[in-house]
Amino acid sequence: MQFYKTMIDRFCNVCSGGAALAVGLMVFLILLEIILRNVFDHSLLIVEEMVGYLLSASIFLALGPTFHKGSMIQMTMITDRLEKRSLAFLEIVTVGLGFCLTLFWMRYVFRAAWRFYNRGIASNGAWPFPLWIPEVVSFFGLFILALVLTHHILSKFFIAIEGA
Amino acid sequence: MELYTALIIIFVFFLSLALGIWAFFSLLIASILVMAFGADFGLDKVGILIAKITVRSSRSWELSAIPLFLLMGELLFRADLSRRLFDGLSTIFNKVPGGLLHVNVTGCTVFAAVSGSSAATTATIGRISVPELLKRGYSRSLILGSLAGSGSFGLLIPPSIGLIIYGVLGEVSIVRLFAAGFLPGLIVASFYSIYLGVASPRVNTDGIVFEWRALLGLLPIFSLILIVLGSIYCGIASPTEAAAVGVGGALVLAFIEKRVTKTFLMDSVFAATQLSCVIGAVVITASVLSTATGIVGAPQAIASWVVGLNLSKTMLLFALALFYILLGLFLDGVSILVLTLPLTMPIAVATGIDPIWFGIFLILMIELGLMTPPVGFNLFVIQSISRASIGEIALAAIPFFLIMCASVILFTIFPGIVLWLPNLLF
Repeated sequence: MQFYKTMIDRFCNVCSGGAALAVGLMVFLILLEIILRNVFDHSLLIVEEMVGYLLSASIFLALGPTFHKGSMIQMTMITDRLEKRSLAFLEIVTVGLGFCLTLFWMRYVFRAAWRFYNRGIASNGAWPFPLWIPEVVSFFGLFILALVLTHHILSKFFIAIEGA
Repeated sequence: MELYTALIIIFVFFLSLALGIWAFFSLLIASILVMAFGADFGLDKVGILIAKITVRSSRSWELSAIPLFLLMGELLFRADLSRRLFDGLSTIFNKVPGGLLHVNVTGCTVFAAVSGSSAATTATIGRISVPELLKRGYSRSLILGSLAGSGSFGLLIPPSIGLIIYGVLGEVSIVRLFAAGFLPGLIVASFYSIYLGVASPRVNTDGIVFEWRALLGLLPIFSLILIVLGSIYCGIASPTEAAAVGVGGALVLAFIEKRVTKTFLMDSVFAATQLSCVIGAVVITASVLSTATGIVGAPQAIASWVVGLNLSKTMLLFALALFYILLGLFLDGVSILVLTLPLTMPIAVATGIDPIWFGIFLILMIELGLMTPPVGFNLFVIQSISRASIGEIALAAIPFFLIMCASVILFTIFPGIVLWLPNLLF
C-alpha cells in the first residue's frame, strides 16, 4: 500500500508540474502575442488555439493531483455527520462510482485520440497541429485520476476493515 | 422528456451531491441520465458526446482567463501587498466615522479589481486587517461581518471569474459584463461604508497620522488595476490577454517587493493551477449537462412554462432570488452558476430581462450565498484567519447580507445603474 501511495504521489507531482508548466506557457504565449501585435504589428496566428490546448492540458492533468489533495468541490453536510467506519463504506461506493465514470470518460477520450491518430487529423489553424496530442494529454490526466481513485478506494477499504 | 423522468433525474442529482459525490461526477451522472433516459441515446453515443464536449469546452479561449486571473491573485497574495494596502488606506480613513473598519471594505474593493476570486480577496485583506483591527479594539462583529460582505466583491468587481464563467456559458460579452459590474460593486461598497460609519462612529483614536509615504504605497496596486482594466478598455487586449498582462504586472510588483523566489513562483502557480482545475472540472462537466438538457429541450420547456404563468418581471426575479439564496445555503458559487444558468437564462431572456443585467443579478445572488452557512466559502476563509466560529461570522454578516439584498432591490428598480456603463462604453 505504501509503495502504491508513493507511486501515486510521484504521478501526481509529475501531473501537477505538467499543469503548472501549461499555465506558465499560456502566460508566455499570450504576452508574446500582445507584444508582437502591438509593437511589431505581427501575429503568431496560433496563440488562441495553443492556449486552448494548454488550458485543456492544465485542467485534465491537474484532475488527479487536485482530487488527491481533497480540493474538489463536494457537499459534506451529511458525510460530516457519519462515524468513521460508515463514512469509509459510503466513500468506497461514491469513489467507486467516480472510478467507473472516469473509466467510461477515458474510454471515449482514448477512442477520439486513436481516431485522430489513425486518420492523421490536424487542426485547421495556421499551423496544422496533430489533434491526437491534446487528446492523449487529456487521456493521461484521466488515467492518473483513475489511479488516484483506486488508491482512495483501497485506503477507505482498509479503514472499513480496521473498524470492523 | 416526461415530467416524472425529469423529476427523478433532478432527485438523483441532488441525492448524489448530498451523498458526497464530487460536484463534477454528480454533473456527469445527471448528464448521462438525461441523455440516456431523456433523449434515448445509447451508452456509446453518450460516451462520445461526453468526450467531445468536455475536451472542447476545456479548450475555450475565454475560459483561459480563469487560471491567469487566479495566478495574478496568488502572486499578489504571496507578494504581501496587503500590508501596503492596509497602511495606505488607514491613512485615508483614519479620520472618517467608522475609522479603519473602512479598510476592510475599500481594501476588498481595490483588491477585487486585481483579483477575480473572492477567496483570494477575503484572504489577502483579512489576513492583515483582522489582527490589526482587533488589536485596535474595533467591534469584532463589525470586523468579521464587513470582511464577509466585502470579500465577495471579488466576484462582482472586474476582473471576475464568475462573470467570465457567466459570459462563456451564457454567450454574453465578457467585456460588457466587466463594465456592468463596476458601478453596482462601488454602490454596494458605499452602502457598507455608510453602515460602518453609522454603526461605529469612532474617529481618529488610532494614533495614525497622515503620511504621504503610506499613501504612495497604494500606487503599485492602483497601477496594476489601471494596466489590467486599461488594456481591456483601450482595446489593447481581450479579457484573457489582460489576465496575462496582469500576471506580468503582478510579477513585476513582486520583483520590486523582492519576493520573487523559486518557492514563491512554484507555490503561486501550483495554487492557481489547482484552483482553476477545481473550477474547470465543474465547468466542463456542466457544459455536458447544459448540452444534454438542451438536446431534450428542457430549458425551453421550463422557460415556456414560466412565461405561461404570466409572472411580472419583479415576481419572477423575486422567485429567482429566493431560489438562489436557498441554493446558496448548500452549494458553492461556481456550482450554482454552472448548474442553473442553462435553466434560468432562457427564462430571463424570454421575459425580456437584459442578459447583462441578469449576469450581475446572478453574481449578487452568489455573493449572498458566499455569506450564508453552512456552505458560505467566505465564512470558511474568515474562520481560518480569525479562528472565530462559522456561527459567529455568519451572525456578524447578517447586516451586510441585508444591505446586499437592499442593493439588489435597488438595481431591480433602477436597472440603468447596472447597464449605464456598458451602454456608455460600447
